[in-house]
Amino acid sequence: MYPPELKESIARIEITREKRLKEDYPRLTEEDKSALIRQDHPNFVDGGMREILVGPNKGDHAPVELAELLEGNSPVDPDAVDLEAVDYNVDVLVLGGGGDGAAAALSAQENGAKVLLATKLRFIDSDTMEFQGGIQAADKPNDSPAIHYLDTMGGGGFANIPDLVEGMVRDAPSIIQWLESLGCMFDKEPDGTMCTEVGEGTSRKRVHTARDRLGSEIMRNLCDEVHNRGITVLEHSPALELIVDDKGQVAGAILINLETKKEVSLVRAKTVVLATGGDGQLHYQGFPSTDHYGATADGLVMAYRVGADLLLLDAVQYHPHGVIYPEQMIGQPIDEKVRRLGAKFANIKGEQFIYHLETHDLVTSAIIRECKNGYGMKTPKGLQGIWLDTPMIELLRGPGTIQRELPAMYMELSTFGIDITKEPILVYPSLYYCNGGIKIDAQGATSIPNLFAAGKVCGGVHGRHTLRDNILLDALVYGRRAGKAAAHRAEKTKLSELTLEHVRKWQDELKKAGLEKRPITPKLVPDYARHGKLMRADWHRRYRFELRKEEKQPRVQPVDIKEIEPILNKILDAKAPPVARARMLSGRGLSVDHKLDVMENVIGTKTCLGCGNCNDVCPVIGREPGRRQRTEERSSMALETILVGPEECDRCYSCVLACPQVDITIKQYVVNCRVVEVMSWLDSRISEAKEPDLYLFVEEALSQ
Amino acid sequence: MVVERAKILEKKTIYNLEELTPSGEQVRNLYPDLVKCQGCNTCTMSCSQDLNVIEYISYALYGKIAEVADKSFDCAMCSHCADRCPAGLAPYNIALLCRRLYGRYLVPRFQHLVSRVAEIKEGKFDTKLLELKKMEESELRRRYSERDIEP
Repeated sequence: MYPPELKESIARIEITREKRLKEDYPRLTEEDKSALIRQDHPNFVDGGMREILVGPNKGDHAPVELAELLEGNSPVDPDAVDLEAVDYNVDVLVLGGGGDGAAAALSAQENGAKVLLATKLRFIDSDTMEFQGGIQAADKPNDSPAIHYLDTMGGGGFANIPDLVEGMVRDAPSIIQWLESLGCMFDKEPDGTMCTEVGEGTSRKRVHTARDRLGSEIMRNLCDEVHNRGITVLEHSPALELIVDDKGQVAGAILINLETKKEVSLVRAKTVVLATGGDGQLHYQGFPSTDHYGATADGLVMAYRVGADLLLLDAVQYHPHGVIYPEQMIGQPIDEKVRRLGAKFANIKGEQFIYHLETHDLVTSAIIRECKNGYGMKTPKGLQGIWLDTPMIELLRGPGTIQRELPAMYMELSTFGIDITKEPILVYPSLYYCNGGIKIDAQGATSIPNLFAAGKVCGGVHGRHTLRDNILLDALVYGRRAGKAAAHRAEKTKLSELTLEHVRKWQDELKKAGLEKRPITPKLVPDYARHGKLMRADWHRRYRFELRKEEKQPRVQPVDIKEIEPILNKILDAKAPPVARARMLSGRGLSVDHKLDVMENVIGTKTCLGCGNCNDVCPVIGREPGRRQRTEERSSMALETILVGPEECDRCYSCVLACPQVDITIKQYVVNCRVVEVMSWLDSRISEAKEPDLYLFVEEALSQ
Repeated sequence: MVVERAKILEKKTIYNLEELTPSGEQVRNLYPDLVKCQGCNTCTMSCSQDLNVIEYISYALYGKIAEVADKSFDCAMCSHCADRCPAGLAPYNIALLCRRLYGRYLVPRFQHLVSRVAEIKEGKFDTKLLELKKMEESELRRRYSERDIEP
């Protein structure tokens, strides 16, 4: 649902809709075009880009946020890491769990290598999974790889690397054949002929689709195949740094466990394939991003530190219309099709300001200009956007068109109460694709021996502008090529002693350039708020230089009681319920790490964190907020809430499910109600560990 | 050390797609838990994509693979259905198997793709591509602006 102020604005838009429907807005002239882009395109904004100060690409221009990360300090202290303690010993290590990583792992294994795949998030969580476009391949009789080549070069402003484009168009049909044999459900005629469409910048009908979820269809199948082939997958284990051997070849990586954020594993691998994806979550100049949560340029940073060449870092591409309201969908791109079907833009006055079928860059610049001039609509969060008038499609092409042509978009927005057949969408440009990246050759090899790369982390295939439906093709083609090359290379490689010499050299170089104060990178987790003010993701700063030594330290940080005494006394004296007292604690900057005696004194039990989750989810309190205080007073733990107040409790067990401190098995048990199976196990556990709470809980549950 | 076992493997059968036959029996053999479905509808209620999970599970029980593939296409593999199933089924993995069987065996292959891949292997387009690769940028630009566009 749009809030009232946006509804008012929509009412004004509706008045001018008829007029805009008939109006032919003039196209821009060549001069206007270049002036508009020079003035308002984010790539040309002053202060958006700067020179990189150190490393192989010193002097090149890159977005400020990225340059800062590239010049970052290493999270690993070479002296503290024991390189003898190898946890995994494999032929090929694939970093990244998207389409490119999966393709590389599969093809490396087909070529006889022992493969390990490590990914930062869950293996399947990736940009590939979210991709709603199509995949290009010149496989129709009236088409040829040569025409595909020309389209791609033209789309990229002729800045593409010819060898890479040739490799991509040449492999495209065999990639489709491979996907077909894996069981991908492409859209087909009854006789098996592919249904293909025209895409952005294509001169033939060359775009293969699978309804509007091609990306997830491909990713699901690749993921399943990787598991079926028995390839070891490490989830939630991003790499912190690459390891080299004393001949200068890349020889593995250091991984960290993202769940505990403490344990590190050492992987010794003959070759490494980087498939870590893009950098959209760095939010250049505060723009929203269409990228997935993991896209924080980790691969670029690691490769740069071993000395790999990067290229075209200043060619950042923006999607002209990403969603800006509702907040949950910020950055998500609205398909190009909307404009082709006839939706036009409207500013706050209900006027058009650009011909609706101009190219990406022009529309992006025009929308930014309108917002800068104060003709943008403000959202409740203070962001600005322009109306994309989707109801015009229905007026032009008859009712039902939107549901038929854009089912996914219609569905997604309707879950937020926005009916795009009747109401326009508020949009703003969104970071779409980093055309720059690691320089590779046609086999996916980088400038560093034994280091390969594929997918978004590479640059050069798409020139300065990528065509939407080439993105997935690039990832799969170079994923497979890099995997194959890495496996062959691994056969011939003999590793000697592992070192982290390059990290030492890098830190020296930073010191010489006076850049020691740069952040510790790779970043791993994006900032939570778009403008970086709410919660900066900087937990890994704490782990610098302590990687191996960490294990010996006690998990709980010791607190100097004298320092916090005054605060403590205040909180202890406060006549507040336990949960509230716990909240006061965290408000003073004390956290779980400081629990020690504080927990017992303030809250009364050893296990409750005082997070208040149990109270937040309780339906009884939800119905009668007045009961909140009473529950807060006695609930120091979800279990107690259930046990102490039976007359009020609904026994829904929501609190148990929400409590971060209640054992996971009990949660499972509550969900599955498998009393008999779990009972014996619980019984033995209770007698060993003497957990009276557990015992009470089980008894209570059984007596029902 | 990190945890090696991906969550999806908890309730997934390992198989080789090349050795399977697209039949309901095959699906039931690989996922014998399928017959334990109590029809409680928890899966449908927990689906994050608003799919009718119980419907496609019953299709799977009756061996209607094409229907399962169609009805489950929007699955996002979030595993909510498997987490909540009281009988221990993994509906999302069963659906994935059916979709793969359908895409691999039940839909006819695209014949021209085979000949196109062979043509590329034989080197039919090599000279054209080489010519384009060596071309001056100005000439490429001319060709690009003059290329014919399929309506």
